[in-house]
Amino acid sequence: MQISGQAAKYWLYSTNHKDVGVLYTVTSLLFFLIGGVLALSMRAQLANPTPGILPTSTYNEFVTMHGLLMILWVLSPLAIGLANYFIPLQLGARDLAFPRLNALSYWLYLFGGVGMVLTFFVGGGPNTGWTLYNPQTACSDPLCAGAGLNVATGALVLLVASITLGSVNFIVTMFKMRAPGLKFSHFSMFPWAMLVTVVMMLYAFPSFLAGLVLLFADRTFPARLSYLSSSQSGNIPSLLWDDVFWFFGHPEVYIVLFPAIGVIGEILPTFTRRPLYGAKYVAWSMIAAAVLSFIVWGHHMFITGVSPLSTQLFTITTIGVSLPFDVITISMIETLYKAKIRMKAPVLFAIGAVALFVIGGITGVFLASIALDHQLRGTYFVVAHFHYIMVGAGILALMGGLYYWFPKMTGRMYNERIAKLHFALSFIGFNVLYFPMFFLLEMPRRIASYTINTGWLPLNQMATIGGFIFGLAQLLLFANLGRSLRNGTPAGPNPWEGWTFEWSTSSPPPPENFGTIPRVASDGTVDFGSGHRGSLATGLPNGHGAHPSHLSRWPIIMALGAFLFLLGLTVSSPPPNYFLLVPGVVVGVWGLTGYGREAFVVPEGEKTADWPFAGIPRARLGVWVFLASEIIFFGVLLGAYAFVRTNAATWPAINSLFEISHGATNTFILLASSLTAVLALACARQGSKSGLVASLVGTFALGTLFLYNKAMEWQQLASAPVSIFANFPLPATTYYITTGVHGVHVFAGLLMIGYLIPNALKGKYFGHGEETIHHFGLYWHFVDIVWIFLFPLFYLI
Amino acid sequence: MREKGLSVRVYIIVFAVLIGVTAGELELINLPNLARDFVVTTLIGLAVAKAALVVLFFQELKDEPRPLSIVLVVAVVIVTALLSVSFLQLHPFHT
Repeated sequence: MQISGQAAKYWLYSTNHKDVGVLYTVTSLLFFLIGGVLALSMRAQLANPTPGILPTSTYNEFVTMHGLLMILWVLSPLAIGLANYFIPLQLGARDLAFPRLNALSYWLYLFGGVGMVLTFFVGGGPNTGWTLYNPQTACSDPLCAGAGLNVATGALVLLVASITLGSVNFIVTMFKMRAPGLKFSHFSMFPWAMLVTVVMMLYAFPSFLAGLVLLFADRTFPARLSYLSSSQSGNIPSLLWDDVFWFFGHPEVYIVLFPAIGVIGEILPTFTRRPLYGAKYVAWSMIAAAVLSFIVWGHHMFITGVSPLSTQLFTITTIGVSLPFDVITISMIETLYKAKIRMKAPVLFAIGAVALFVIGGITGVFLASIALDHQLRGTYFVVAHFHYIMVGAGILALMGGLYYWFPKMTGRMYNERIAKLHFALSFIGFNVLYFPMFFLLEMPRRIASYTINTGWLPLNQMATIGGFIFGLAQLLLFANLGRSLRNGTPAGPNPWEGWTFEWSTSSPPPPENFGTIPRVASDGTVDFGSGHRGSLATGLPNGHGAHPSHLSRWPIIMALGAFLFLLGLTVSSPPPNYFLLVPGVVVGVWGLTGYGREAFVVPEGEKTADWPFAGIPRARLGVWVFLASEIIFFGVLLGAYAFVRTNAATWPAINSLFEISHGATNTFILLASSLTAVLALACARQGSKSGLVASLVGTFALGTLFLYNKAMEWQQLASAPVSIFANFPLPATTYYITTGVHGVHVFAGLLMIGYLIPNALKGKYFGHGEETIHHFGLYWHFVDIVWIFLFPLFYLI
Repeated sequence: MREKGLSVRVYIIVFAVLIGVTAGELELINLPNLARDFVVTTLIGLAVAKAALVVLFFQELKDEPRPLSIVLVVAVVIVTALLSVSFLQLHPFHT
């Protein structure tokens, strides 16, 4: 198959939500192939006790890469791909709120995945397990031999950036761009599930990002092992990574699971011809589970020696979090009970996912028990449990979603017989693969070999047979969808007689989705314009009319710049590699500038439903939501500092290492810059061009002065006769990391002002344009607030 | 003159208060015979107060719809809970 230049340009530059959705979906399936090959290699290894086909070190790399790719580059992105395609359609919107940001999210995700796979070729892939536990990640070698984990850290940073931007985009879209009259109570289950998912992503991933910063610092800074290792600080900071990681890691399980529940909640009503039983309670249950998911992470740390009180609390919350899932499961079973089910492939996958979820869920409750957890932790029982959740419920449901929406995405039907064969082999293979693992109660996970007298061989061989059945079955998916793409029978707009908005438009939908944005009346009926009124299933609006260009080259250029920058920062031992770092900065700034200067028209709907954020413009809401994630990011960084400091044996006295005069001067400078920033907004509102320009120039000057003063302080500390890192490793690392990350934020703010000033001189920021100044101010004041906390914590206490 | 947002006068008053509180922080650490716990708690309390002033008046959160505050408060609560429980977990090591 040849791709013409025009087609390549289209896919590289498209920002349309449906195209980005296709890109996400296809890319996640490619990573699924890579992760699957790694998994089968591991199963082949374990089919014989010893000797195996893989050296132990390679096996460890495969285990780690398999986990990271499948969880972070397959499961969530596959769901995000479907959400990209269908959430705007299901909301009656023309696109996501920020289409270019959406494309940027995808390219950051792709480059992050490329970086992750690249680690195999730059010093070896990470071999620590997907949890990246300390001390496996510790690097005491002065050159930190083997940059693979450093590059992996950079790749994960790109992924978190992608997810954060994506979360902001979806949240703003779902709150601000719903079709007129469309209330949350009208939502079907997939939009509900994705709303809960992206909110969880917004609050969970910044903790992981902060952890990655700490990990990078520990592996590359002159004073190594400051934050996460026990070697210098007693046993206490060694749990810091566990806390930071699992605070993200446990919600991540539900982040992966909820979209699958949403897909099942779409498929079951369609194929049973009845509404989801207790749909309202399913939605509330997801919300309840999401809230509880943030207070259960400690059950991953039962055997680390933490306080008995905290283990008891986490036992209660962990058992509690199973209750909402009981409601969800009962709802699905009730929906199926005595229903006349049309046994098509999507519903088979959905039913299979529910069945496997029950097994995975029940075995998870076992692990809430402290006594059982002590026995089962780190064994293949746990491996079986979470694969029943992640693969059994997660992947199978999402595959059901692929079959369900394939006709809408392509306008073609898939081959039903092959799809059913795919399901049968997947279901059988999955259970042959994972069910035996429940009985490997004493076999530790992540081991590359074992002895014959353990008695583990038969169960492992059975699991390996199941693994190959399951793995090879997936080829049927690729073959079926690939062939049907060209030769499938035409699907028509609504082959399943579905009820949600996406079935009311053509297959595939036109660029703008709908000719006229549908309106939902209070009684639930939908008006598609032109006097056409009826149920969701009957509307056929035409969105093929004139539409603005969806193409922008800047998202991919910005993502490339970020990729090169992070690769340059991590790939060499010792870092950085300026041959990558400098081009990364140049390409990134070029992309950012082009992005800012581009006159990009965002497809707008008419007056949309925007409760409860009526009155807040879309972009401003986006900035606020982004700042919420920044609160957690900096909160965890400052918390890590407090963690290290309160448990350190000694700490320099006030004003002995970090001079108060430096901190106080910078505090006054930043506070003054906040005043000039807010005066800029006042001047924009009053139409005072000279006042606006002067205020922005003043803010720029004060920000620059802040960084200059900070640089002087850094230089002074670095050039001290006795190395600060040698004498005060913990204060030095925490200081440079925390103030450094803050400094990067100040620098980013200066870049923004550098962009704003020329436009202010052209008189662009009056009338509606003042919003841009307001957005900048929100960010700049936030950076000021961070310093308000840094000042006392580092200089006065 | 002003159509929306706060007046310049309010911005300058808030700025003056922020500068004054910062000066107070610098004075506080020089006061003799204060318990360290008191100083630490007061300094963190003052930082929270300063941050609240910036959020409410410079970022104009007080004029935004109330649900927006919830988005930010949830983030603060989450990070506070994380830190609190993290320290709670380590209790035995302190004794």
